[in-house]
Amino acid sequence: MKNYIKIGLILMTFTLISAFVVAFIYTAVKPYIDNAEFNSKLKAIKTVLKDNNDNYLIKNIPENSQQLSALVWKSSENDVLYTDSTNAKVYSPVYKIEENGKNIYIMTVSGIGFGGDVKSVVSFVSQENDIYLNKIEVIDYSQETPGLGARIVESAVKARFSDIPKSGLEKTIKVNKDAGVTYSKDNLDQAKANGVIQLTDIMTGATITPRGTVKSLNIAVEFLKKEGVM
Amino acid sequence: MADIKNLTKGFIKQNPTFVQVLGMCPTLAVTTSAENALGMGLAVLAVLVMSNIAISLIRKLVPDNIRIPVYIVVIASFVTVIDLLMHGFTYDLWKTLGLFIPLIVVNCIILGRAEAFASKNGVLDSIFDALGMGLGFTGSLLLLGSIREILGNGTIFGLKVMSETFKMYLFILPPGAFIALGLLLAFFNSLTLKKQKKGGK
Amino acid sequence: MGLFAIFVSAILVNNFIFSRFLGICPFLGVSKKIDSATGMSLAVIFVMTMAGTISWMLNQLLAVMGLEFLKTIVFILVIAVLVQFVEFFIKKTSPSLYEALGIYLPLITTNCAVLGVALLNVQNNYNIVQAIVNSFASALGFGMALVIFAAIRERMDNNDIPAPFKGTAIALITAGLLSMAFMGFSGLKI
Repeated sequence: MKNYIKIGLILMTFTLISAFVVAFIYTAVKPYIDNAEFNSKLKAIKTVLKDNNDNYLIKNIPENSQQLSALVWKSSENDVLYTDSTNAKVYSPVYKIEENGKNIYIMTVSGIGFGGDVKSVVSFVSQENDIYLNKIEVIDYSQETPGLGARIVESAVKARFSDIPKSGLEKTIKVNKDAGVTYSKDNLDQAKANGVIQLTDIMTGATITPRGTVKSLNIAVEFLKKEGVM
Repeated sequence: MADIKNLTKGFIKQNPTFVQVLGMCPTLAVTTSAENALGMGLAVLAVLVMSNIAISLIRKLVPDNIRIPVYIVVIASFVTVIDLLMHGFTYDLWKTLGLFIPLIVVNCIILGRAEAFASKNGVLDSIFDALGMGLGFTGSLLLLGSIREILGNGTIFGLKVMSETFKMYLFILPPGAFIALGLLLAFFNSLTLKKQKKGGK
Repeated sequence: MGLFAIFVSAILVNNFIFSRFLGICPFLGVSKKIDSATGMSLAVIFVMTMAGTISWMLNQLLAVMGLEFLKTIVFILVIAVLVQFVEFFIKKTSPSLYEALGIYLPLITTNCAVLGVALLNVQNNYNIVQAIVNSFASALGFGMALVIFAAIRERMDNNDIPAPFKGTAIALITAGLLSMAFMGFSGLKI
């Protein structure tokens, strides 16, 4: 018995020393970690604030944590603001930027993809009575298959999800495979007006990941409707 | 004095991947591109060197019957440190390697070297051993990663080297990892067999 | 994710060996005979389910104290202790299995699959029930892959394999073909 106690104590000593060393490094590195996480988030937000010609939609772009916090529109105590039966989520906080009569809503949303959540940052632009989905930036696709579903992050694929007008949003967005139609490259605008994302010509062999992205867009629209914006 | 052979044996003679067949999990998982392979290899090298030094220093203090749990705690601490540093300073690489950074703890190479070498040798020798094995491992990862990236994506480190038509997606996918590694292993085996045959004659 | 979805996904769609590359070392090492493969699978199923659950509970404790960065150290210690118990238990109840598994039994500690499932439960923000189901199902998937592979390797023993491929190389290529087969499950709509 005495032997076991001795062994236990030695092991515990080594563990405590290691824990202290790690805790020390953690406190030293934590500001850098927070910085890296924030920069990554800010980068995504800035990307969705651009239009398809790579120009910013507004003049006052948030550059640091304070400016961004000032733009929070809706938030909640826990991570998730809104969820639905398919387990798609709208995350807290949702930002709203007002400039020149334009309201831009920026949300982090997710839908279930192949191996887990596919997270994106999306921007909706609302002006007078019209609203359209401007752009998406996929930020987490780590559970999707590289070379197949993971291609969701390619710019050509992401562009297919951008500039969806109000008519398309209200019809519930679908990937073209689920809608049962195929549009050519020249008729993409028509597709988007009908709420159809044409993907099978540039991304094949992976429908589940785009479906997850589409689910996340639909819950974003649902959320905006619930908040009386749409 | 320290033996330089400890450094070079990790490259070819006792290459962790192709000779000892250790550390297979990260080898197959992160070699989807040359850059990821290099990142993982260097992370493992860092942990290997630090843990070999630490374990060599405390080797006389640890009772024999609990040496394995103690080594594991030491290795786990260094891995956590590397994880934190990568999270703060190399965010994109950290995000890509994901789960496999904490999994460096159970990379058989590190515990293997701690048990087989660092626990029985001096600090300088242990450093050489760690460097050798770490560099050998990084080299193998880089080789596999480059092949998979070139054949599967037509690029190397993101630079295009092959046209789209020749891309074989298979190599980026899980089956491709197994097959590419199997073929490489067979290739190296055939070299060894040829050498043995020549020696025998 | 629903429990059934987690269960099926962990075994077929995201099989630990063929999809996630967790647990390759014992997969290549213990799969030469079906008996040792089955014995190893049962041991791993027990360790993985217990380790996944206990780690989840300890992580909740760590989170409350703000010490989540220590989870790697804590999880691996839990696994090491569990494996010691299993080793002790098998030695007492089935000495022949103990002999057959040999060095691979304590090596369950360094099995990426065990630490992997503990970390995945935390990463996916599962609740306790989802964590238990995921740990158990992932272990089943691992065991199934191991036994299937052992069955194939036993039969391959009688084949005329070219010298450079003998041993691990042909095993890897076979695993690659199995992995391709399992990719067929990726379209499973649950």
